[in-house]
Amino acid sequence: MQAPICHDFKTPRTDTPKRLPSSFFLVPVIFYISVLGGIFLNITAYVRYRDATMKRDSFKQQQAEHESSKAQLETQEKAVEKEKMKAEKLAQWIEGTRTLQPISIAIIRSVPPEITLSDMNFERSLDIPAQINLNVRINNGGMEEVQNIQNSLQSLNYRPYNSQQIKNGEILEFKTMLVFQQH
Amino acid sequence: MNGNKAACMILIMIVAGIVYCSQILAQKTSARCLEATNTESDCVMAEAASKSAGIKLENTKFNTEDLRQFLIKWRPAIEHIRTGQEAENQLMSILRNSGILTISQKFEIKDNKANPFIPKSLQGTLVLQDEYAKTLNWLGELERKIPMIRVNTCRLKQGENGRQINLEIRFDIPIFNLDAEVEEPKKS
Repeated sequence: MQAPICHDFKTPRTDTPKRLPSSFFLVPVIFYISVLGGIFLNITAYVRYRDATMKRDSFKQQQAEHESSKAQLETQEKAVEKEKMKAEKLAQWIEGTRTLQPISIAIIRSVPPEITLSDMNFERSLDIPAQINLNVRINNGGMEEVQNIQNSLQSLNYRPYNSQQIKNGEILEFKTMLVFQQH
Repeated sequence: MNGNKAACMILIMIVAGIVYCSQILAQKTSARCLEATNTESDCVMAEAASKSAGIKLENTKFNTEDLRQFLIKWRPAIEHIRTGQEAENQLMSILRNSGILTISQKFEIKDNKANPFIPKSLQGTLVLQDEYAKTLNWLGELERKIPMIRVNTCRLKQGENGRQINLEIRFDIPIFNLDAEVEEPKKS
């Protein structure tokens, strides 16, 4: 039996392009995956970027507050230091203004009535005004009077240094340097 | 190039564009995260520095408390005499009120440019002669009413009669300027 003849009347088209290789079907898949992945990644990256920006701004603000607070504290400290320096300068001056009247009265009271003081000089040291050079001339005086004067000075917390007694006839000249003792 | 190939190329270019944009954004994000971390550490350091400055201030305040109190106590006396004229007036007032006999007096206002804290001072010499008690009381009153007076020289000697004493003082009344910029002494 003869097989029926089946003619293909369609001639192959020559104007159509060749099929792409089969691996190219992955291109649209990759495209969709990349579009979805890109959207996901970009959204998460954007969220992280925004959070990081907010954090950075917040920390910058806090940092600025801390720096401003530090600057204020340093200004206050400088002011305290200045006050301290002024107080030190004042104290330096005041140290050289210890009153002389109580010393002179103590010396006068320490000698008995029959002994007279012809002359009493106080002179502050130029370099250290807190130190006072004392010069007393005692008429008919002796070591007892000098000792009494020294005791009276010590009762006022003054310590005599470099004491000298010079006898010149009836006059005993007592020279010393007084230094106030801090307790 | 046929249409399919062109479409594939376009898709591949779009994919590459998406990857490139994602990469750029990821780089920017990691850079911003790093910046945030650095700012955080800077912030922590600034906080520590601020706390340290606070502690230092408290320490300085504590260590200088006595001196500052000293200055506060003396401030009224200092502010009482702000000019040489005021110092002279105060001194003359003490002299007048005591009724003590003044033999001689000499006052002079001296400038002290080297010391901005004490830019001026009233220097003078006074010679008085009166009764022993009156004269010494006057000296005490002078030192009490003008507490910052520095009596540089004080000479006591017998007066014209037995009851009198002669007092000669050379003094220095400083005019303080509390608003002056005081510099720390240079350490050698």
